[in-house]
Amino acid sequence: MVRRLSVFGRWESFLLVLVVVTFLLGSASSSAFATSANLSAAAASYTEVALIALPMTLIIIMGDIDLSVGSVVALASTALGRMTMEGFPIGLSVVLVVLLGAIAGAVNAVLVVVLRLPSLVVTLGTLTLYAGLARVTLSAGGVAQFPSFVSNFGSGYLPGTLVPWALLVVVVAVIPFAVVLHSSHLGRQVFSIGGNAEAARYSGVRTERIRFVLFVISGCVAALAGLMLTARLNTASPDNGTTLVLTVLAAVLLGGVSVFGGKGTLAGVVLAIVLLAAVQNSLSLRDVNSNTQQIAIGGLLIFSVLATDGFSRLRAWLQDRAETGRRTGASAGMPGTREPVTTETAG
Amino acid sequence: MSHDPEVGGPGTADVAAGNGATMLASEPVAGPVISLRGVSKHYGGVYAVRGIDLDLYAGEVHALLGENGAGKSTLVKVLGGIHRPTEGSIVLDGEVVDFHSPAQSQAAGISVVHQEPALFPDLDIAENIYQGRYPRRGPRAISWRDVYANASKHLQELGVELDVRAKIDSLSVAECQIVEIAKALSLNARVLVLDEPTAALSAGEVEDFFRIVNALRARGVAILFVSHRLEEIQSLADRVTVLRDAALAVTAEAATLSREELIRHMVGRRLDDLFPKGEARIGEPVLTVRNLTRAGVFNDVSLEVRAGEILGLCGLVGAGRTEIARVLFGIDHADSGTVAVRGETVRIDSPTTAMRHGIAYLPEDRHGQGLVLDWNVASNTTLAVLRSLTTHGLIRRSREKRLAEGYVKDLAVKCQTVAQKVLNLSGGNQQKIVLAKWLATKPAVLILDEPTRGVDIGTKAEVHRLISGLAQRGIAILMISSELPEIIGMSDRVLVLHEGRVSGEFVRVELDQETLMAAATGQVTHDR
Repeated sequence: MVRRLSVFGRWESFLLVLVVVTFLLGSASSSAFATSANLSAAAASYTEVALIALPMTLIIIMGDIDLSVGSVVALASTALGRMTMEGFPIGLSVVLVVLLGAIAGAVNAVLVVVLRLPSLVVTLGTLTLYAGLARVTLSAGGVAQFPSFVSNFGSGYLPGTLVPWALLVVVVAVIPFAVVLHSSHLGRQVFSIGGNAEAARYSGVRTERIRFVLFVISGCVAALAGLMLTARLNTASPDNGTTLVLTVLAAVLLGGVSVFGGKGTLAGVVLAIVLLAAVQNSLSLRDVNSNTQQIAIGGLLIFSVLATDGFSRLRAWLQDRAETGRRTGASAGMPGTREPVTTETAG
Repeated sequence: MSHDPEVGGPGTADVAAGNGATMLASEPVAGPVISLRGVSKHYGGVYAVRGIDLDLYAGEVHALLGENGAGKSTLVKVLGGIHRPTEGSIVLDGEVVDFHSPAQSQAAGISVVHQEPALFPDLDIAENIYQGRYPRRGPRAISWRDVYANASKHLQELGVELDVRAKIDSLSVAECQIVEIAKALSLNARVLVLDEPTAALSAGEVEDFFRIVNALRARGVAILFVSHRLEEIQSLADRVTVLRDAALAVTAEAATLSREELIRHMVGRRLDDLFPKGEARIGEPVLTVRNLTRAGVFNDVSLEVRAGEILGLCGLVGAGRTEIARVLFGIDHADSGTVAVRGETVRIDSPTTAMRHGIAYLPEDRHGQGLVLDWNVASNTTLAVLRSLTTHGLIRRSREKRLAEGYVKDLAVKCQTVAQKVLNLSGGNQQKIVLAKWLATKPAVLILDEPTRGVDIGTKAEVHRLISGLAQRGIAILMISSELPEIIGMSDRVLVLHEGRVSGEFVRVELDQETLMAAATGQVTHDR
């Protein structure tokens, strides 16, 4: 937890370097890249990913996964469209949609936490289930007549700037997530669940409650992202957000969160999102078509896995060397405090 | 025994290098099956073992003793073909051999049974025994009939009744080890290396296990038996070799060395009192359990632990010891019965409520249930008391560090800093960290489940001294242990369980191994 690594040895620093390089290359290859309008648009297009990535980071650190978020986005979008069609006041609709997200998350939580089913399978199931529900909710395709409040939020900026409203939401949301994860006892408990769920339970960590709540939060946040996406596109559609989950997972894993749980930082995830947005945007400016962009992003993800693996090997090697040095020093005076080689056998 | 090495006291036996040669000279029957000649293994400048000579004869049980870090595992790995010695040689039937892989060692007739059996949990016993070398009928087809028939034949040879179609994950640790040994038999092993086979076994299982080892000895297998438990060595081994600090301390006839001498060779110093439970003022009852029952697991268990008292809880594995502890700590739930803390009946439905009532539980599986191995000392120490370290919900790192450093000092944990990962600590120091985690909760009742399992002998005495000190501070301690000397040395009173029921209760003066074993095996029911 308290990782004593030099700044240079951290994955986040490496990501930061990549971000800077991408920005330099982007500016060099297109004069349009480093303009406020372009950066603003690029940021806006990643706000939903960023928002959903926040609870996803915690869930993956906990050793679980929530694949259903993209479908919750679609469900939220169509629910908003349907309620608008039926003449619900917009404020009530927003509250109901977030509540719907909470219910969707709670269904996942009941299956995963209470019935102890694997989250990968459960949320793969609800991914399809919620996507189906979204199509049932709004079978007639898109809805595009929203109150001006909605479209203003979706395409407007903070007064006097080019900062999209949605980005403000993300920035405001990052802070509590980061504080809770990295500074509060709850965050420490989240890490403990991913590090060794059994030991956490035996230490009085309410593992089930924490996991349940996080799945519910994930549903709520996905619904909120669904509202933002609907506003930004000014369209309610069951196709909204269906591919989001892959980008979110790419961002979280590229951000250095261990797919096995127990490790990761929100800073890494935020940097990864910035990196993904910058790469995709600069490729778009170079008129690289979206298929090729997908290849680039896929490649980046594979690269990150290779690089993190290489990183941890390098780190293990360095640590090993350091310890050998220590042991050489210690072995003279201290009769064996530990086995020089530990046995690892599969049980 | 067919050979008669010249051994006097430990003094003469210290010179072990010439032993093998002397034995060969005075031994007309046969030389050793396998010998290590001046074997060293070093990493950089650090020797894991240094200049070891060891002879294993057919039909002998040769015990290998030593503290953690003394080099036992390394030697086992050299024999098993996992490590190649940096210096020295292995001599098999008079010829120098060089093992490049475990497969080569196995092919030469050496089988190693590791402490934690390396079996496939989802396959059955027979499949595990013949994994990778199934008997065939025809070029592609496996002869399943032979697989099962041969597997049951080998199990019968060991005198055990196990269903060869039983899945490994349905077996106990003891049964898994038997499967490993059956596998060794099927390989026609002439040398069998048992790496701490009894560490996870209960007293009754150990007896069965010894029966099997004796049968193998009678068949002429050379057995190297690695163990921590001195009493086992005296009842089982023909000869014993003690390692200390990577070097050979002594090789001698097991009967010629007393327990105290063995310990002295292991630690290089005298441990006068292994189990120093000091006098403590026994106060009011803190934990009172009445008629506690969990259907099919334990029945009608009543017990009382007073402040300053250590209540030992012993019994065979499966007798319900850990199961009772799990219910008291809120991990499992009782079907009936009551639990009271300081006279007040409490309902414990989770570890959190147990902790709120001042109950702490040091679990038996240190790695699985006690520690987050990837975390450092500080984070592990504070995991159960995180909330008390926060202001406005945020953890104060300085407070966390101070708390952890305090316990590291109190418990004399050997670590560089509290930022060191617990993964890199020795078993004994890891156990101290788990203990620290629970002491930080300021418990009124401390349940210790196998507190010294896998802890080396020097640290063991230290852990016992710590436990004794906790009792003196007025903590009520319930101590579960499979090691009878530990139970006898530490407990003020002992409760013995047999098949989920209390089969005996003894006070300190009545304690001896025979009485406890009789109660644990259900031979005697001591009226309470």
